[in-house]
Amino acid sequence: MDQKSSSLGRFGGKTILYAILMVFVFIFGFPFYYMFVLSTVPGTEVYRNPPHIFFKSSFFTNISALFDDIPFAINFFNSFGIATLATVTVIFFCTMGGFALAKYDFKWKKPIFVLMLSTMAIPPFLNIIPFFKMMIFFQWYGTWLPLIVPGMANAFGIILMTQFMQSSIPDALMDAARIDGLTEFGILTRIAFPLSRSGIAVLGIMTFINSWNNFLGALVMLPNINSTTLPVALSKLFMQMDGDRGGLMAGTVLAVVPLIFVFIAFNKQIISGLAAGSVKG
Amino acid sequence: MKKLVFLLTVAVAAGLLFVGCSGKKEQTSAADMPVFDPEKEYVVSIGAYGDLEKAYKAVMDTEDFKSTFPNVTVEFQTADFGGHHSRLTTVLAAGEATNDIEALEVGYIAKFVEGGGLTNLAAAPFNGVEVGKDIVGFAMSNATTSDGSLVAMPVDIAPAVLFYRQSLVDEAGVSLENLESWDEFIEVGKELVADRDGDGEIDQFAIPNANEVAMTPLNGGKGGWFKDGKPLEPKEKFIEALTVVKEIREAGIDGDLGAWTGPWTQSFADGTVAATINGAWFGGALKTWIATDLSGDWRATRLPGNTLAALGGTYLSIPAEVPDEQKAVAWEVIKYLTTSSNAQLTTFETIDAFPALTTVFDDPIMNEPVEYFGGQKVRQLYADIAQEIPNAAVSEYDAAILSVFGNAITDVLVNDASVEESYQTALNSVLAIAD
Repeated sequence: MDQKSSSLGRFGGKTILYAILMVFVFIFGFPFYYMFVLSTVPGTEVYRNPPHIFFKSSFFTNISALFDDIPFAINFFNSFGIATLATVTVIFFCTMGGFALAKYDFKWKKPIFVLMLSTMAIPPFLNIIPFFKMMIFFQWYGTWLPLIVPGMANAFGIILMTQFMQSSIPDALMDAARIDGLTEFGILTRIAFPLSRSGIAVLGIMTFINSWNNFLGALVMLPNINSTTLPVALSKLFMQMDGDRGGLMAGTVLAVVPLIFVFIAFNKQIISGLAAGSVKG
Repeated sequence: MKKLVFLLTVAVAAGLLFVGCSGKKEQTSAADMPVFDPEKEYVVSIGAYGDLEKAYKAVMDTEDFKSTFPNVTVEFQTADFGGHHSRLTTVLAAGEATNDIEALEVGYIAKFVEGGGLTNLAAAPFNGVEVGKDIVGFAMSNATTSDGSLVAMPVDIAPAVLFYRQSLVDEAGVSLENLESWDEFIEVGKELVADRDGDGEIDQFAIPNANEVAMTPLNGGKGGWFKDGKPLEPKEKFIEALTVVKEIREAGIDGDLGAWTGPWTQSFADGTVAATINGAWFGGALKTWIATDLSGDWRATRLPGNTLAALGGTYLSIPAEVPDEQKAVAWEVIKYLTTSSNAQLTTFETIDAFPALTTVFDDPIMNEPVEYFGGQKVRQLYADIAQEIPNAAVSEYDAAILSVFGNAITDVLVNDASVEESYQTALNSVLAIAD
């Protein structure tokens, strides 16, 4: 009887838990669902009241309007190219930096770490004017470089990888590799990189998402519609008197799809990376 | 550790030197200024927002423009309203220029006057005041600083009017024409409030938000913040603005809808609001995308008590850091866009941006009935109001004071502060700024 009531209690508890979770899934999931719905609604009905909450049939009309309004393929290529290059370079340099801080002893290691940590306290928008002046000075205005190079070895990435590598790469393994004749760079590429896959996945996806969504940087540094990224190109459609709202929503959906794919592809590594971070500190 | 401190000091000093080396460019004297050569090939870039690119491209496709500028190619950098002005703020604050011409919404002029970075178009060889003699007076004054500098040329204007839906007004058995005061507007507004579906909840309001009225007794927030050197004077004017806002909210005739939100946009098409106060440009927005199905139902009329204000308007400026040769061609393009009938009317026909040039007010198009407004001659109404709006020069404090007064309006509307208390708080803040 006791066993029965305790299993009933467990069942009730789980039901309540799942009910609460379902509420949160709805709260967080509905805006996404609604965005997909609006991408299939005719542009003139986007602001209709009561709103459409089920899919309609205008998705391809909206896509066609979008392609008429902006050079979508070029903007997509720019976004993808910048985000990919930023991600690859950030992973490479931040992992190197994190590896050095985590596994080597050298002069001023602590002050350098503290200095890097303190730069994270500066709100990014405060940097935008000196950043812009520097990019003009380097003659990088209008190129992809301002959106990739300055962030390649960023403080957040290095600190994240330092924390991760401190606990995930045993010193004994590095010593054994040295005895076997591996160079320090070999240790980085053949031991540190594979053992840090989860941390790299977290850093990679965060970099990709931040780079993909970097509106202000692209707005300020990339001057024309053919050189700019998707968020800026889509913003051009917003508030246009006869701008097609359906096209805007369809473009927003297409802009989000790569992020969803990236997240799905690296889902396992991200979860394990975050979990590892939570127990290893 | 000492070495680290030394290195940091060197880095900071180098950074300061880098920033310090880029002082603001002095304006070249008229004699040394290159002259525009129609035979030479030029590329001019325009930083624009919203629909402006579309309008100016239509202008550039006309034979008149092509024959005037056969060797000029125009490129655009367009973004949404907020994005464009954020970019421009960054560029000008950095003392740089990335486009030869930058469009500004009137609300940003005071901000850029404060920050500097724009060419004074009143000076020779531009002589903008003389060039703009046929541009409506209030618009020229809004781009003129108290020391006489002209920081931009008006290209389109937005005289404020009261837009309303005839069907909802008829249903309520009232009229919004020729209202003599805001008090009368509030009384009529009460009749426009309704529970249409009978569920016990109000679902029809007179206007979307009380705060849209706030700036109209204050000339749309342009200039007029000082009298005889004293800020927020005459006091009655500012008290009136806050009182009207408070009374509208207390009368329950506004829907408390945030501007440019989904519910706000929907409210003009679904009957949630019967009227709204906005610049003339909003008529174009209603017609082309906000309430396309309501053709023939919307009307426009003067504001209660014939309050005169402008709510919006576009200006064209040349950043100070633009090379002189580019300034010469940029100025010729600006002159064309702001003072040629062809450009002004093409812009108007393309995006409904109301012309700033008074000579086109007599064009037959201005007297045509507009189908969307039930055959009303709204353009003539806009033109008449535009010529009555008082002049007001901008000052370096305008942007800050506008923000302070905006907080006072929020205090009255949201925090239920008294009008007198909000005025005093605003006055203290303004005095602190002006010190």
